[in-house]
Amino acid sequence: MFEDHTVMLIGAGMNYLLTAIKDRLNETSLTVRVSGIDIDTMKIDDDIRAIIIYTDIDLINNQKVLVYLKDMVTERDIPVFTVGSEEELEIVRNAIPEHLLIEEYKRPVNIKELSENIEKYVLQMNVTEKKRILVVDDSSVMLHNLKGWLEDKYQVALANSGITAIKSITKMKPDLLLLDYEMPIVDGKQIMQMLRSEIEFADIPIIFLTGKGDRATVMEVMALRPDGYLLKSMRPDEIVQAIDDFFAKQKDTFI
Amino acid sequence: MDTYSFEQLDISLGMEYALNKKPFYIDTLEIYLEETAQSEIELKEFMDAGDMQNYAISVHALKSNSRIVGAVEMGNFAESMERSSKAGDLQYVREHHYELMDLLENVRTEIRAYLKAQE
Repeated sequence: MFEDHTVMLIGAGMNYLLTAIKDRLNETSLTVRVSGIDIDTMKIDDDIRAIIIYTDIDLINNQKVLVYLKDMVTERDIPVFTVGSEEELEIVRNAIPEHLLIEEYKRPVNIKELSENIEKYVLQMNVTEKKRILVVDDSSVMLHNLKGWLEDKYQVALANSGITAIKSITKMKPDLLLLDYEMPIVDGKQIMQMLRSEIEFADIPIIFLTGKGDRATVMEVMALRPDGYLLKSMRPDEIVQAIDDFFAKQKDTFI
Repeated sequence: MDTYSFEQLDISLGMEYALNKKPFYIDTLEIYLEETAQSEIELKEFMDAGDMQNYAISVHALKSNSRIVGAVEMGNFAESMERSSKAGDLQYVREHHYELMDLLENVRTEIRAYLKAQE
C-alpha cells in the first residue's frame, strides 16, 4: 500500500505515438500498464494511480468503454489525463467527471512534457493523499461517530457487517481496517481470519475495536495478532491519536 | 449556554463525543433513536427465543451506543445485561429485560425533548 507508482495507458492498438508515450513514461519512476479499449482485458486494479486516455475514433465511438471508464474512475477516484484532437477530447470531457479530468493534451503532444507532468502529479498524490480507513461496526451510531472523528485527517469508508466489509475491500483496499470485535453473524475475529487467508488482503493492517477492556478480553483479542486494539469508550481525540501513531510508526518501519 | 435538567442524558458528555459540534450530536441522537427502535424489537425476539448469544451482541451495541450519546446509566445497565446474557443467564435477562426497555424509553423521551428544543 505504499508508494504506488503505476499508471494505466489506454489506447486502441499500439501505434507509434502510443508506444512513444509508453516508453517515455517507463523512463520516469512510473510503472506503465497498457490496455486496449476492451472492457474484458482492461483491469483497473487498486494500484492504478492515474489513467492516461489516448483517444481516437474507436474509443470515442465505444459508449460501453466510455461508461465503464467513467464508472471506474468515479468509484476509485482516479485522476485522468487525456490526449487527442479537440473533438475527441470534447467527447471524453462529457464522460469523465470534471474534478477527475486533470489535464488534456491536444495532438500533436509534447511527450516529454506529458510524462513529466503525469509523474509529478502521481508523486505528489502519494505525498499528500490521505490514508484510507475502512471502519466496520454493526452499530450505525458508532460508524457515524468514528467517521466524524477521523474524516478530517483520513478518507473513511464504512461497513456495517462482515459481508459489506469484504465487498468494500475488494473494490478498494484500505490502508487500515478498524474492525469491531463483537458483531453478529460474522464477528471481527472471523473477518480477520478470512482476510489473513487471502494473499491479496493478508497485509491489510487490522486494529480491533472492542467495548471491553478487561484483561481476559484484551488477551483474547491480542492472541489473534492484530496491529492493535482500541476501546470504544476512548475519547475521540484518543482514538485519532492512536490512529495517527499507528501510521507514523508504519511509516518509520518502512523507511 | 444551553442548560438542561435531564436525568438520563448527560448532554455535555454526549457533546464531547460529538467533538462539541451540535449538528454532529443531533445527527448521532437521531441515529440512536432509529437504531434503538430496532434494538428493542431484536432484544425481545432473542429473549423470547432464549437466544442469549445474540441477545448479548445486541445489548452490547446498545451499551456502546448509549454511552456515546451520554446515557451513562443506560450504558451501565446494558452492560450488566450483556454480562448475564453472555453467561447464559436467561432467568436474569427475563427478570430485567423490561426494566431495561423502560429505561431505554426514558432515554429516548429525553432525546426527543432535546431534539425538539433544538428546532
